[in-house]
Amino acid sequence: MVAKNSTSKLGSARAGVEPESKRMSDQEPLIAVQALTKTFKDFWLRSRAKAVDNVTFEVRPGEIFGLLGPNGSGKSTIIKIMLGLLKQTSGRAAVFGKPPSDVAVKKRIGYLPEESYLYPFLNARETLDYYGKLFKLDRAVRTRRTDELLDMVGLSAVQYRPVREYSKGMQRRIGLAQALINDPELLILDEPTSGLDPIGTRQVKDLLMELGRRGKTIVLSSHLLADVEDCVDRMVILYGGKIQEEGTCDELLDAHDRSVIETGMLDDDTIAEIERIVKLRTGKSIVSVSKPRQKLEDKFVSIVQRAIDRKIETAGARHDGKTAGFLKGESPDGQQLIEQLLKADATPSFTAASASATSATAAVGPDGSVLSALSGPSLTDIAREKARAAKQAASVAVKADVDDSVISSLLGEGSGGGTLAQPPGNTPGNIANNTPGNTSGNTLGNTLGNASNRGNA
Amino acid sequence: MSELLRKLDRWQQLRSFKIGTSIAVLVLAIIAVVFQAVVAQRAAQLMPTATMPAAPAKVENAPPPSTPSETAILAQQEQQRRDMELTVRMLNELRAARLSSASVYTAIASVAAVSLMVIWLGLALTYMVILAAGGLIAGPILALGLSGRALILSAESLSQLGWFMVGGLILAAAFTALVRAMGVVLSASHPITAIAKNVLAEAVRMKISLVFIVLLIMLMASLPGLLDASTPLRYRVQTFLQYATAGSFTLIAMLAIFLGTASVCFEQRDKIIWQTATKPVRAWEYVAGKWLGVSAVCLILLSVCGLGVYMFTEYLRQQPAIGEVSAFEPRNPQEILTEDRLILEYRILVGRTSELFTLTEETTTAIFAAVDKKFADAERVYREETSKTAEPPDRNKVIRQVREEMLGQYLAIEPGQRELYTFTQLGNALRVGKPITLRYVVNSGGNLPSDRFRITIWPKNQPPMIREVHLGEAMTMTLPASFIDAETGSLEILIYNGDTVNGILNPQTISFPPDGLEISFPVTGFAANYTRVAFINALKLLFLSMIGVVCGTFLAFPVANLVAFGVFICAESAPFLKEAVDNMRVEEVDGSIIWWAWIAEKIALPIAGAFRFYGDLKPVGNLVEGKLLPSGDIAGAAIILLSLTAILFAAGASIFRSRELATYSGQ
Repeated sequence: MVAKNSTSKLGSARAGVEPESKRMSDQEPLIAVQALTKTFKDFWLRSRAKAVDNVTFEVRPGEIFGLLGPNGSGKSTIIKIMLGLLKQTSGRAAVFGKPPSDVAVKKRIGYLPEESYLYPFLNARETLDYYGKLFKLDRAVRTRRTDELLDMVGLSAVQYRPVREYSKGMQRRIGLAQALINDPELLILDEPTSGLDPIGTRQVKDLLMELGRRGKTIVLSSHLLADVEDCVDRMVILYGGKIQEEGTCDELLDAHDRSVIETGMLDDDTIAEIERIVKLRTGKSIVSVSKPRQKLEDKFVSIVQRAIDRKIETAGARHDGKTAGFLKGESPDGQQLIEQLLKADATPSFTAASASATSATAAVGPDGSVLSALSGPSLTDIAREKARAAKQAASVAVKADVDDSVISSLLGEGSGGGTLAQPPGNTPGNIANNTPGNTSGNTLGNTLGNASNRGNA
Repeated sequence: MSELLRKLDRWQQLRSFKIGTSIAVLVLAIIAVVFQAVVAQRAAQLMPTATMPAAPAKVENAPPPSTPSETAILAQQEQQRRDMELTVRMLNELRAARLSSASVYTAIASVAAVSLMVIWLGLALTYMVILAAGGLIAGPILALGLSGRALILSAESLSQLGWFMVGGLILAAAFTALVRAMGVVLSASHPITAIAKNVLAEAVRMKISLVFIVLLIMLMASLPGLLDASTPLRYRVQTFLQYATAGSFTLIAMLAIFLGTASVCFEQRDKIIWQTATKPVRAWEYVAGKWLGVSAVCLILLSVCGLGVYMFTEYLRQQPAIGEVSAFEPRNPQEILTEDRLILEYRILVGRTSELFTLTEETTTAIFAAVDKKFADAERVYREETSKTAEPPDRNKVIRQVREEMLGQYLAIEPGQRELYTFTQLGNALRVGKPITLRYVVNSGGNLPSDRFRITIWPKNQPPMIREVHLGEAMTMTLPASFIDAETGSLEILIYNGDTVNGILNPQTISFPPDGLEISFPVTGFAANYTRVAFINALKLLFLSMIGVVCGTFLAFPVANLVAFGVFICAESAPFLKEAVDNMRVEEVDGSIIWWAWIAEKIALPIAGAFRFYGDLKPVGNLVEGKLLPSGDIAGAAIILLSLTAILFAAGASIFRSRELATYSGQ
């Protein structure tokens, strides 16, 4: 499950398209936090620390929501209140419209704490089986999901070793697996990538995006901003227990005052010619021209991938697991399948709508079967696919806005890899790094929050 | 190594392995059955000829053979006779084998059934290892010891070591089977059973609780080796029962508390509870699951120990008692049973019920008359009292006083005097027909240990019996049930203060305490009584498990342990505590209060009172003395203990529900 961390950039503007955040704001919030305050008290009931101070936000269905902030900013406290592990001092927290302590709510939640707190005497399989039983999953479902999750997190080969013998990363993986055993509608992840190696981190991000495509709602907290940036639709940034800023990635991160052009390798003459054209057309000069070297992460991934291809034995986690079928909507449980078939039969208009709105791949299902197509995308999926189609349309519109002559002058003239960054000012070019990945052809795009790319990941 | 063991364990739990080994066991069983059938059939065919042919008639006073050829013929005939005898003996043995075919088939079926059970519990390889350890290590050591050979250790030590190892292996085998079986029982997909099964795994895999389990198995396996073979059998049985039952219960109770608190406290300290509490698990389900798991561990251990104690007691029962050449066979052919055997069989390895003496009609009438008179006097005095400062007389108080006085008089016998005591409601004893036991405690003066008094016990219509008594100590005497009057179901016994046969009088008056004269008789066997004791112990363990779990829900591990152990100790020692408080002086001679004693009394009395029901059960003491635990007491204890357990459970669940689990620091 090595990440294909798509770096295809779409246009930043979404002209004519209703923003996703706006569309989702019309839905009933799945998590509603209002004026939430949490003060920790000592033995004598004297206030010791105000961890959360009058925080208000909402998380809507199908959203990947980020809680960002430095250590001690109140992220984990908010999460623990949302899970019923802590009680708020004042304010209100509701999940699925109910108090967090409600057992019915917990059936629909998957939770990964900031560290994997597991029974050291159980092995990975027993751990997943135990948590499956807490959800009253029947034996066959537990066994199948356990197999798929262990494969997904790359622990199948070491599933019978006690958890106490696992490395921190391996424990993290089994922790993630247990959070998914119930195929939750709401996934709450506290520092999901902490302790994971780069490949594990990519896998988690891929998984989150995949779950997001399926319409799962995800709340994740992290101070590893790169991880969050790649995944989340919307976020709040906390400091001192208070919300400092809130918004979508686009709203918070888009830089509207610069352009990045990425091509194959260019010689100095071409660069000079481009700069001349840019200056001629816009009066601006190129800020930096970089000849990017491969990122360490990519190097690392390629080395591990080669090792996997050579089938080198490892006592640790494997990195070639596929996302569990049940998380992708494949091979649903018997009852669920019957219900979905009945639903599909009873509401042909939805099926038809989804068929027209979604891509062919999504409609046919991952394995190309009609059954998968029926059991695959939910109504939320359909809504998301609609949004994706709209985004694609937007990107086409953005492309159309770009000056054709500039593009044509760039295309076909490069002989290698290179990145051009055009700043607002007229500063001459500096060499800067960028991410070519394994792209060998020319790629064109503006930097955009990866949230817009989730549909294409 | 551990990886290999884990692989083997998984292997033995594979369905294919179970099916394969089951087929192998069934094939072996069929082969054994066929073999037995063939042997039995051949024996049956040979049966008609299996009688000794008539020997040639010997001629009385026949002359000795005169020639060598005659001598040879006679020798040949003698040889033929011997051969024939041998053949007949072999055939008879075969016949015996045929006769016991049913038992052989039963044995084959039993072995096959047990093997299949073991296989399907996923323990086939585990048991093979245990059998191998028994056969290759314990067996040779035991054989060496039993054959009287010394090797590094003396033969006796080797024998003890061998038995210890065999005992340990048997207990370990039983324990693993029960743990696995309990795992199957708790395999339902529900939070309560899931949590309970997890506690079971925790108990077996965590070193901290494993220590208790290993200690328990070692204690049980080593106890038989500590018995002194030269002491009477009844003492050996009593010693074993006392130490094995009390020791195992104490260790299991400690484990219940320790495991209960540790399982809940450590889960909170290590934050593992976060994962469980964020799943659809209600607070009461969590507490119930933990309690069920701890209780399951305790009940498994109690069953293993109980089985071990019962089986070894039955083994001891088959050993020769003092005065026997073998079990139940007295050395003196005139004796039917030796005293050691008699006491063991009718007083210890039974469940006896007892009856105190009943007051005669005369005594009762005298008491009432005395009460009336004393009350009338008191009322008269009160009426004549003009100041009315005194309280009016209380008839109940008067009755108590008079009864105590009259009873004291009734139970005291002056030197050379006698008193008749009647025991009624002994119809059951007569029906059972087993020997009955008279228990008596004689007090006199300061009960000096150096004093030896003699009393005469004279059952109605029977010869008198003289007994030398140790003052202040409980003495017993076995009497045949036929002494009981068949019509009234009562037994009258005259007791003389002195030896009436030899005309020896004691120097002082003797007296019996109110509960110092009783007749007891067996109403059930050892198995039934032992089951009752085990049941009471199980109830206590359920209660203690709940205390451990509940303390763990809101206290840190050391404090939770301290509180839970405190409750356990208070409960177990409640009767001693009450006795100690009763005997403690709270006031000085001059009437001033001893404050520390007063405070101690005020703290101790409620504790002793609260746990009186628990302490008064004394299951082990009753078992060792062969006393039946009355059904009423058991039912009462069950109601009280289960009610308390339920109350604790409700409190624990409520506390746990209101806890903020993410703030627990474990300190």
